[in-house]
Amino acid sequence: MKRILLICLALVLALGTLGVAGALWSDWLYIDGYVETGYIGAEWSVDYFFDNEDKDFSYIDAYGAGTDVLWIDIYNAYPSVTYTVGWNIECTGSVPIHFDSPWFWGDLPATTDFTFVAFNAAGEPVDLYGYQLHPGEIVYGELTIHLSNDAAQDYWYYFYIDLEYGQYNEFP
Amino acid sequence: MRRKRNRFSRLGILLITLLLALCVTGVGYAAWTDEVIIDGTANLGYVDVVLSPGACSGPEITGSVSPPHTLVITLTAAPPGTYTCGFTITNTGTIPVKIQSITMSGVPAGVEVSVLGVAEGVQIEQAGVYPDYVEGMVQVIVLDGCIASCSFEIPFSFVQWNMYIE
Repeated sequence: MKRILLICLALVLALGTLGVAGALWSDWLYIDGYVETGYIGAEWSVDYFFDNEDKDFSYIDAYGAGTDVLWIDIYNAYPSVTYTVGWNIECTGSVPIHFDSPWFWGDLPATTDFTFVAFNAAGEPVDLYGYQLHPGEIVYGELTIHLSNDAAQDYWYYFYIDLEYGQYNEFP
Repeated sequence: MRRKRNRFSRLGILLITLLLALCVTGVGYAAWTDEVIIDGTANLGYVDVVLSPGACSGPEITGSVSPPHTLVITLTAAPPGTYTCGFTITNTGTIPVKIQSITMSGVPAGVEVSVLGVAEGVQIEQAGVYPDYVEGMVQVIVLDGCIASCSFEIPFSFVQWNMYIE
């Protein structure tokens, strides 16, 4: 019995010694990595705005440069005058973007002549659906409103254009 | 005895997994889309013209206005002669207007009428901008006399300045 105990004790000591030796002869290698994600962004800027009145009875204002909302206000409007806004959209993100089709909403009379067109850098008309804009690049365009004779007097009309965009390889 | 497989619970787990996967994908998708917006308003102006009667040359002639823009001239026991009645057209709207037409109706025989001071095509500026009114006069020449009472009308029509048709 005493011999067995001695054997066990020796075995424990031997294993302990091996463990220390094992610890001394092992180490770790690491991979330390990070992923910095990009971002998408787009901002309006206003190139010009005017109307084709001979005299200056009504006027148009466009503002909101550097933001994602372009505000257009037309004051004292009346039929037969065409109001025009030249706009730019700059890709301010770090990832190219694709656009969806513009979505229009408003209570302008049905016969209002309302146009929203876009052009590429070469000045060619482009369909915004799926149009790719790289970081720092600009797509520009023009919006025109020509009120028809059935427009109500002394009335506030509202219109809204929503242009959704997303990262180029997942959208639309 | 062979144990019967519980197909429903396996299908349920599959559906829940699919739903969770779609939700996660949805969050990822939403995080990488955005929008730019045009928010616009068009505040329309309005055309509004007020026709007001002015002073008349004597008790034999009076002028009044039938809405919206008709001048009514009434002669009462008017012997042959020339009579006048003034009127004012004021633009109270926000857009300049032009007189599109001046017509006469019901002028009795033996009476000649002319409108002086204003004419078709005359522009009246919008309220607050000089001159936002014009003054005119109706001249009535009674040749045969108007024994009892006779009246006639002069309707005016107005149009926004750039819609005037010559």
